[in-house]
This record gives sequence, C-alpha cells and structure tokens, in this order.
Amino acid sequence: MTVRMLIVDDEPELLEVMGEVLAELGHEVITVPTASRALEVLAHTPIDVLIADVVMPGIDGPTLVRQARVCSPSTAAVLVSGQVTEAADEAERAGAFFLAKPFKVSALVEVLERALARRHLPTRDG
Amino acid sequence: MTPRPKARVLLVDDRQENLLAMKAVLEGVADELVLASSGVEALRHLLDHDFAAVLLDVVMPGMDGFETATLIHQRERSRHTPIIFLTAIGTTRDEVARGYQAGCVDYLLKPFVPGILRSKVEVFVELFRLRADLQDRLEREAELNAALAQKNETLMRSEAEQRRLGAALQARNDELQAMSRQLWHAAKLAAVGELAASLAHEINNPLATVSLRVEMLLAKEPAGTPTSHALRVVAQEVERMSRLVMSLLQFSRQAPPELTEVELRGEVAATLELVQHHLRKVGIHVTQEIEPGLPPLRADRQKLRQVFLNLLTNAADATPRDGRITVRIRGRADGSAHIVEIEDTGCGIPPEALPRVTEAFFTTKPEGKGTGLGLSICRRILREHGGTLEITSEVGRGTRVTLILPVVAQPAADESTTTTAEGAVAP
Repeated sequence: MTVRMLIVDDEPELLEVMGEVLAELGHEVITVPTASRALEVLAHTPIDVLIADVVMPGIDGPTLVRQARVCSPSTAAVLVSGQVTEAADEAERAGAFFLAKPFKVSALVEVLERALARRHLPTRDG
Repeated sequence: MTPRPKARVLLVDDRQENLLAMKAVLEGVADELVLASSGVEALRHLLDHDFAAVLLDVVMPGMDGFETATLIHQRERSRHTPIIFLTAIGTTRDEVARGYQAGCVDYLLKPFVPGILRSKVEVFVELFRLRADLQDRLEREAELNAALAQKNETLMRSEAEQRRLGAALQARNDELQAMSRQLWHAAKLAAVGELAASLAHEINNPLATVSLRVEMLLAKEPAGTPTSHALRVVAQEVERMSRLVMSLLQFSRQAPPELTEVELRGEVAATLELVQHHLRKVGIHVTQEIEPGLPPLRADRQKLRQVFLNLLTNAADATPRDGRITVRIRGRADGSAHIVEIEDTGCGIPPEALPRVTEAFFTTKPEGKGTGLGLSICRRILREHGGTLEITSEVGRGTRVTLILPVVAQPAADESTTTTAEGAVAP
C-alpha cells in the first residue's frame, strides 16, 4: 500500500534525508520546510501521515498537528524532536506519536506503522 | 585642686609675756600664729585646726607640758603634729627623756635665742607645707589615676563593643558571600538546564541527519568491506553522542516522578556506562556486588539514574587514583525494600561536615567544582520514593552512601513526616 506522507522540518538536511529514506521504502513523500507550507499542502492534498518537527520558527509542530486535525481529520501525526522530554509530553497532548531525534530507520518505520494503525480506529474526538 | 592648708603654729605658755615674745620672733614665719595660755586651751585649738608645729611650755599650772603632749599625740588627727618643748635651763636628763617619750621632737631652752627659735619653726613650717603639697599631689594623682582607670575602662568597653560589632559585620559579610555563591550556583545550574535543552536541540538535529545518512549508506554497502566497517563505527559514535546528550538532559531536568517498573541492576549499569570513561581515565576501579534475582521496583527511572550518577560522581571526585568504588544492591530480608550501597575508598567527610552534606548548597568540593546541590537533590528524590539516604564516613578511609528504596514507592505525604527518615545521617 502506498502511503502519502508530508514531512515538515526546518532543517533542510534532515528533511532531505528523511524524504529519501521514506521514498526508498516505497512511500510517496512531500517535504516542506515550514508549517504554513504544510497547511497549504494539507488543504489540497490527502495526506496519510504528517511528520513534523516540534520546534520550528513560526507555527510549531504541535500547533500544526492540531490545525491539521481540523482541516484533515484522517491524517495521522508523528512529531519528532531533539528536545526529548518536554517535546514528548507536548506531542502526547497534541494527540500525535512521538519520535526522539536522532532515530534509526527501524524506529521511524515502527512509529509510522503505529500512527497508521491508530488512523483506522475511530477517533477519540468522534 | 584643694586649696593649700594654712601653716599654723601653736604657741603654748602660761605666761603672756613669753607668748608675746615668741609671737614677735616668729612673725611672718607661718601663715598664722595661734596663742594658748594653757594645755586645755591648746587642745581646744587642736580640735579646730592642724598645726605645722606646737611650741609647748613644759612647766604650766594645771595640765603641764608632758600631759598636754601625751593628749595631743593620742588624738588621731594630731598624732604626727611635731611638738617642741620649751624648758628652762637646768632641766634634768629625766625630764628630757620624759619629754621625748611624750612625743616631743625637739627641745628649746629658755631663754631662747630668737634666730634658733625662728629657724627651727621655719623647718617645721616648711615640712608642713611640703607634706601638704605632697598630700595634695598624691590626691591629684589618685584622682588622675581614677580618671585614667575610668577612661581605660570606657576604652576597653568600646573596644570590646567594636570587636563585637566587627564580628557581627564579618558574620553578615560571610553570610552575604555564601548567599551570593549559592545564587551563582543556582543560576549556573539553571543555565546548565537551559544549555542542555538547547544543546539537545542543536546537536540532535544534525545527529539525526548523520544517523539516517549512515544507515542508508550501510544498507547499500555489502557487509565486511572496510567502508561498511567505517560506517558502523560512525553509527556507533553517533549513538554514543546521542546517549550523552540524553543523559545531560535527564540530569538537568526537574519534573514530578513518573513511576514505572525499574530494575536497579540495569539502572546502575546504565549510569556506570556514563561515567566509566571518566573512571578509567582517573584510574578508579569499580566493583559491583549485586544480589541476583531481585524483582523490579516501582520508581522513576530517570530520577534514580540521576541519584546514581550523582553518587558515583561524588565517589569519583573523592577517590584517588587506584581507589575503588563498590556498588552493592541487595533486597531487604522482608522484601519490602531494596538497599543500594555506594562505597568509595576516598578522602572521607570530616565529622563536622557530615550532618550538613545533604543541605542544599553545602559542598566540600573546591570552589567551582560542586554546586552543593547533588546530595540534596538525591535526598529529595529518595524522599519522593518514600526512601532514605544515609551517609557514613571516615576521614582517610572512605564514604558509604546507603539508599533504602521501598519496593512500592510511597511518596512522603509532607515534609514533617520525613524529617526523621531523611535526617538519618549516621555519625
């Protein structure tokens, strides 16, 4: 099954390599450097999983996830961050899965699977 | 200064002409010449005044000269008043002896030579004046001495007061300095926390890129090639850096305890891994004596790691090269708690410092090396787990920190209920 993913990170190098990794795994990947660009994409394109950095200039990751849930309720969300402890709590509050940077490809795959699995369950917000 | 007393001379004779003759001869010698015609009258004058000398006729009707002299010298006030006897020529040796016995100091024979009488009386008047001067000087000196003593006492008192004030000032100053040191340490610690957080962000982002890049390259490289080996080493080192940043973050973080199932053996091992490079570098050996098969306990993993890291760092700081740190973990006989001991062969803690080592900001480490917060954080964490932290130490032999961790954490309800437990710093 091809999954369409939207990756948002203000670190271009990381954004690029994440895109490459997920593309090699056979997914369709869109990468954008800011949350506002991500929201534009979400408005026009169906996205299965949103992968966003927590700390970004402008709109941050958790805010993006909350807005995404409004404009695209079927999109699952994964937040990634180098600021492990606080970011994990924030991700949880935003209803997203969390992945601490740096991570292995296997960890990324695993968290994406869990996020996609949740997406098929009825949402808590109803 | 008291006014100089008058130098008076008392002339005693029953014959008026004698008195007048003496008065004429002695005119101007003394300040005042007092005349008396009998022993009784002489004594009356002596009640009123002190005299430089008494010229006393021996042969008088009624009370004679001897009798009068005896009475004069019996009185305290005139005990030392010089008496000159006036006697007629032909006085016997016995009479002279009697006179001296009665206290006379000199004899004058009648009829007297005016010059001799005058010069003798002059001597006594001079003596009287000298004595008066001396007396006056002594009195003044005594006054001065008293004043001096008083001044001295005042000075000493103000000096003592000054010393006391000085000491109080010094104490305040010390207190202030200690406070500013504490503030500096606290600020430093807060800065470390902030630094750790931003460091984590700044380092983890590039680490994530490197890690993913290396993994992608590794996936394309056949196993066993030199490139593959090199990539594995890079991956390993990236992981190590990531762990380091993680520990730094955990160390500087303060949050309510999150209780999970924790195996102490694993936590101690993880913490040791963090410091083992340092321990190896400074030549400290580590021994672990861990009771096998201990069940996990409910505790905050990160916080326990923080405790172990703190205690191991303290032990390492106190222990010289070739010293040893021993970590023991065992279960309490009734299974209610786990006991962790961290023992070093270091310099030990002086007995006077021991009761204070778990106070916040108290440190025995050199300036700049310790924050004085390590043990107080440990104690707080143990308290959060319903446990205790005890320290025994012997200077020159080493220190042992004993942690008692209940298997089921029972966070203390309030401060007061835990004071006895946490105050259990063994002598």
